[in-house]
Amino acid sequence: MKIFKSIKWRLQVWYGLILLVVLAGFGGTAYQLERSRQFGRIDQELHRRVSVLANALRRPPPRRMEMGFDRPPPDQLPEDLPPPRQEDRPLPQFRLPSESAHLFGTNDPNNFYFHITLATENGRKEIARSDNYHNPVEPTVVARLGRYFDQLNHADLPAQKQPGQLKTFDYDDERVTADILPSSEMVEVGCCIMPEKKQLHETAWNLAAIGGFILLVGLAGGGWLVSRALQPVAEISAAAVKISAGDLSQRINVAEAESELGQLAAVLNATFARLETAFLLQKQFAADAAHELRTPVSVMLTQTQTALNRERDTASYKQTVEACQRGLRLREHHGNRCA
Amino acid sequence: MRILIVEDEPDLLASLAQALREEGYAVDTAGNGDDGLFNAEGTDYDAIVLDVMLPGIDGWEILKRLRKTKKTPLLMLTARDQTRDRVKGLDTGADDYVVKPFDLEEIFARLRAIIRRSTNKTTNVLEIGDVKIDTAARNVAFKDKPVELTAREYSLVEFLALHRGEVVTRTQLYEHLFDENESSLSNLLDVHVSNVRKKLGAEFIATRRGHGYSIE
Repeated sequence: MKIFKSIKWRLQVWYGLILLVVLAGFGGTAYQLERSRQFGRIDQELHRRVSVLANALRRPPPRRMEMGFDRPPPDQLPEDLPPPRQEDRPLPQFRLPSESAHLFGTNDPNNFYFHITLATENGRKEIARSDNYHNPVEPTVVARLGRYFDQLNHADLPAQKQPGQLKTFDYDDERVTADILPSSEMVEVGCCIMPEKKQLHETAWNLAAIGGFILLVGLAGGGWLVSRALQPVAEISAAAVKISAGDLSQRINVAEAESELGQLAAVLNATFARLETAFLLQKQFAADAAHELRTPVSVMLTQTQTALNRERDTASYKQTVEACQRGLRLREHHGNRCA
Repeated sequence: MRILIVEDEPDLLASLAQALREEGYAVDTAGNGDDGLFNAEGTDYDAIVLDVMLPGIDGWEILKRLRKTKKTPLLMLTARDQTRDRVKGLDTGADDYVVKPFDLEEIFARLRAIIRRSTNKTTNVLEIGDVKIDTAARNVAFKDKPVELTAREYSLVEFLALHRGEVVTRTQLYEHLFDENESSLSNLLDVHVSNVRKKLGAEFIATRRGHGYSIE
């Protein structure tokens, strides 16, 4: 395949590859930035809701004050007192404050939901859940989160169970953040991230389209540049072809004498000039030799033809023979010179 | 017909001159470019045979300078047979071009051709009344019978016939019929004219007294 051996095509291919890598790098970075911006916003929303729920848990509604007997107000809780064992107390009551109700529910495109559980001897007990808390997530996510936090519990390291030690998981089109409170309740808040994923998908396609367009423009520009850069080579080649075909007067047109190719062209031109001079000298020599050799032949031919035109006296014939002899001598002399 | 040969090779010059003289031409010779140019510019030749390679001024230069003043038919003679040289010769103003070595017959024919062209004739045969002149065969017939003419007499008839209707002066006749080496005795021409009148009829050549001769 001749075309793939040409410098033009190889340059074009390498240039295209480099351009592709650069564009992919830029596109990938842009995509990642957009992704972390989207998920950062989602995570912020999730954390806000977790803290709203955690606050609601610590601050039981006033009507239920008599039912939260086992839960002294946080300011009365001694700092060094270990949290009471879960099995010793009934499940705490929880009611979502009405001013926070709008944070959860199906009216939001992200469909935020929550689930609050408490780990007991007999496994996890549910304290509260939002209406839109749906099962498909539960078995896996709850199991994973439960295991994670139960491990923390059984390690008996209450100091580690600090608020803010949030754990976030992605599960299919859901994103779930969970927190374990000092009082051992686990708060999960999840949401649907379909809209964000859809938007990221669109962003990816847009980036790919823009990247493809830039790649095309770049390739076209690169092709133009390569053609321009190789133009002198084509000119040199054309001149060389004409010269090899026999036209020694051809010269390469040197537009930019200072460039690398210009210098090459100048060197080649000098070579061609010397070649032409040598060739012309040789031609001239051949012509001169032919001239020198032809003159004696003309002399003899004319002499003999004139002599034979009519009857002549002996002196005339002698003259003719002498002239022919001079012609032969001259011819021999020139022949020796040419040899 | 008077012809100038410019050629530097003496043997070639001598034999060519001899051959042309034997053909009935008056022949002047020049052995180098300077003499050649001097002669060519100073005399009205009927044709010039010019070698290209000459000592002194070369053939190209002679041709170039001569063409500024004269339209004399000119035959280039050269050993160089490259197309470029032939084209150059013809473009500079030569009427024909012969490459050495050549046959005398060819030189004769080409000379006749360029002279014929210069006098605006299309054929070699001239007919004047009962007289028929064949310039190729160099013979003359009167009332369809061949007439014996000496070379000089033939030249006289041919020159006057080629300039038919014009008055040709005695000087012109001397210039074209005799070469530079012949003494121009005035009665020599009268003898030739009288001989021609005897052979071709007294009215063939008319005398313009005080001017010269003419053929009507």
